[in-house]
Amino acid sequence: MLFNSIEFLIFLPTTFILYWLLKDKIKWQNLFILLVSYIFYGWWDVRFLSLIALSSAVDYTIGIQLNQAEKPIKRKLLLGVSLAFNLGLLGFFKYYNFFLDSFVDAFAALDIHLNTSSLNIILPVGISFYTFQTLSYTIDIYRKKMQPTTDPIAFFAYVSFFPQLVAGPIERASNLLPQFFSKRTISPALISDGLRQILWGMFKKIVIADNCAVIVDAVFSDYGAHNSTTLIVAAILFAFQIYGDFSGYSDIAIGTAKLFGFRLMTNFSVPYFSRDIAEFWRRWHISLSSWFRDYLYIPLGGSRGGLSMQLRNVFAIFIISGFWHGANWTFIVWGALNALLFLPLLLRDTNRKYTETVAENRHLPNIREVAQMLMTFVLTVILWVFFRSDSVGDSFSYLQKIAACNFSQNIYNQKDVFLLMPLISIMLIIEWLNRDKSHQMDIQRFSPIIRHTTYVFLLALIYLFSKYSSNTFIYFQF
Amino acid sequence: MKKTFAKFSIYVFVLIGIHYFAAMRAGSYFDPFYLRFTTGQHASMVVGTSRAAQGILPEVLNRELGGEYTTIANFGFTIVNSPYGEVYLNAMRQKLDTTKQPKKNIFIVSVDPWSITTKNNPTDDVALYREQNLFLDKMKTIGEVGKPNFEYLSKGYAESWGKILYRPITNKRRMCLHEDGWLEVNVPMNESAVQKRQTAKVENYTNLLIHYALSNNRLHELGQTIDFLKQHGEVVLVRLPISSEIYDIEKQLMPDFDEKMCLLSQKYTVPYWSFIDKLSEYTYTDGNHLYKDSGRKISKEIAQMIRYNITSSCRQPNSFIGD
Repeated sequence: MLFNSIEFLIFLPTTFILYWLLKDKIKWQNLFILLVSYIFYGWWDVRFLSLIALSSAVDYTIGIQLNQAEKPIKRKLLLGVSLAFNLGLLGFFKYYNFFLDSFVDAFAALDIHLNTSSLNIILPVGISFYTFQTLSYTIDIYRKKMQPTTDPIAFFAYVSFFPQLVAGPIERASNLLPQFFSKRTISPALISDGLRQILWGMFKKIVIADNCAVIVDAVFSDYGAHNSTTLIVAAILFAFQIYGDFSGYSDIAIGTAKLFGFRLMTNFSVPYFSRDIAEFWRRWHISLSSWFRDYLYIPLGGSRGGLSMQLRNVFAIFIISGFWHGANWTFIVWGALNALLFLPLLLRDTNRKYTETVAENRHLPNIREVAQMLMTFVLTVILWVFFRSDSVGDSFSYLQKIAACNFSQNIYNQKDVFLLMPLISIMLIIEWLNRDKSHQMDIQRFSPIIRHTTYVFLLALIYLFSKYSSNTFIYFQF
Repeated sequence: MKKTFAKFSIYVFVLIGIHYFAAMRAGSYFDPFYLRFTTGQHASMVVGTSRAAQGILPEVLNRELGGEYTTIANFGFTIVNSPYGEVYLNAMRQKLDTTKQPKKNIFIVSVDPWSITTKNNPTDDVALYREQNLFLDKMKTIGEVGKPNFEYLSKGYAESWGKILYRPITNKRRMCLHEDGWLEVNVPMNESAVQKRQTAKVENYTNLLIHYALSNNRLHELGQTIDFLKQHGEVVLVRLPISSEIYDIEKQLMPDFDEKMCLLSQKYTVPYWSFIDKLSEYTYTDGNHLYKDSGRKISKEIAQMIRYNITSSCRQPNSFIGD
């Protein structure tokens, strides 16, 4: 079920009402969440529910076993089983054909031609998200950072919690799971806050991302036919498309969770106002970046050790993060290029230079900050070309065509591009005004007139651009 | 809490109200198909692709034939939505009013080579037909009366909701779908504008030639369509005129199309009228579709041919029977 679909418009209020009818009955509420989460997921493909159930069952059992095991070898073995199972699942469904094809291509380069055939594997929606979520649970128990739960319903509900099941935020058991055991409360302020965040997410998805997608898809699918101006415009629009799409989803997910009395972690924090690439990565897909930081980067040694170790760790985290996005060399190159941009900051020990919000306590940034933000944005736009292209060759060809400097005023679909400019400006202005808030529609501090005018304005735009046939979210493919 | 819900409910009801209002108001100028799903069933119909949708005017037919025949509606769509096949036939079944009528029923079946072809489908696999899973395949309320038809809006209307509101304004001069199903297209008809559209159309259709091929299944389904409609009234097969340039392309696509239609005409004992010999007598918006003036003219001619029971335009019918 898509957040931007008619089905969800019916699903959400129905589940909300039924859920709060079970007020004070935590176990029943958990069971209800589990049930509606499976319905929500089964709406796509009921077959893949078994994968979630299996993944949940394996990690639930291993969690209890880990807690009981005292011998380090047994604990390691149990952790290994969990890792093998979850990563095996991910590997088979997401990467099997990629590895097979890459293997065949590598041998073909040596003039050895292997006879293999790819399997027709359907990628289960959200598999990359929920496997990481269950893994964090097992690893945290292994590290004795948390106790396992003995309530299977709560655990299964935690893994399949519908607002964030298919595209995150990738929650940590230490944050989300305890919420399944505590009494949930609802208040007008929380409902309003949740609805505002949903509204903002819908705006970013329906008004920004879906409109950018029309131009981006057309240009990237036939980039050879366009001039440099159009290619630059499309690359910039893709930056806004993927931001609107993914952060929009996260906002809807977090806002929806609030309606059910849950607090999910922030996943995006105005990343396009970053002053360098390190700050960008602290503000973009925070739940994934911090997952890799805690479960991969730090165990590998982090920024400690010699230069070679630092290099290895930075490249490892960025390349694996890129590969997590999809079974394509484009994502790996995208990750490696991000590492290349990040590395100088790490080596000069300036990677944590900008941890506070830009222009804090000021209305506007200074010229230096504007230049830094623009430079960071330009770099991310260039790297997004690799993310969006079908192949690495296409990415380089796309950038080469830009570099050919065939600038002309003829922009593909010029009318729609001009329509998008004020819409993107509206998004950026609102985000700037609320850049230090937990989400960018946190406008409680304004007067009711301003608030309701904003709601009406955003709703009108969302209505104008809504369709019956909803566009899916980009991150569902990951 | 109550205040919060009250405020939220106001927003929800206003939005629903606006959407309902927009869907109610949506009509002739917002979409080329919508009204065909709000006007109920009809006992007499024009069926075919966009050539029929734009080229045959029920208003003229009804005026000329009104005394004898039930009111005719145009139920033609496009080559993508309504080539002959099971999907379109099932849609006709829903649209057809089968109650006993005091007058005769008439069905004008517009045919052309493209309407019995498949695209990029060498094995003629029905599962790959482009109309599968489009609105005519999915809808269950094709014959219903009254607005709004939310089923069509959700299954057939792919544009944004905003366009339901503002398209009636922006589209007013370009397109008008009449209540009787005729799609009136208003485009500049000066020589250079027509030439430009025709050149684009010829180029497009020439490129399409390698992708399209005769579908024996569709040909069979056309026969089934005729057979079905014959059970409910008189049927005539019509090949509407096109520009000579488009005709040249069609000859390459299916040189024996007229012969195939003549065979069908004989098999089902229905007349087949081809206007291919009179191409220069009509004007076209883009070479492929009749301009509305010519649509009026040909509709009147078809009405007269029905009235006077004109026989098929097959020149040597016996030569096709397999002698």
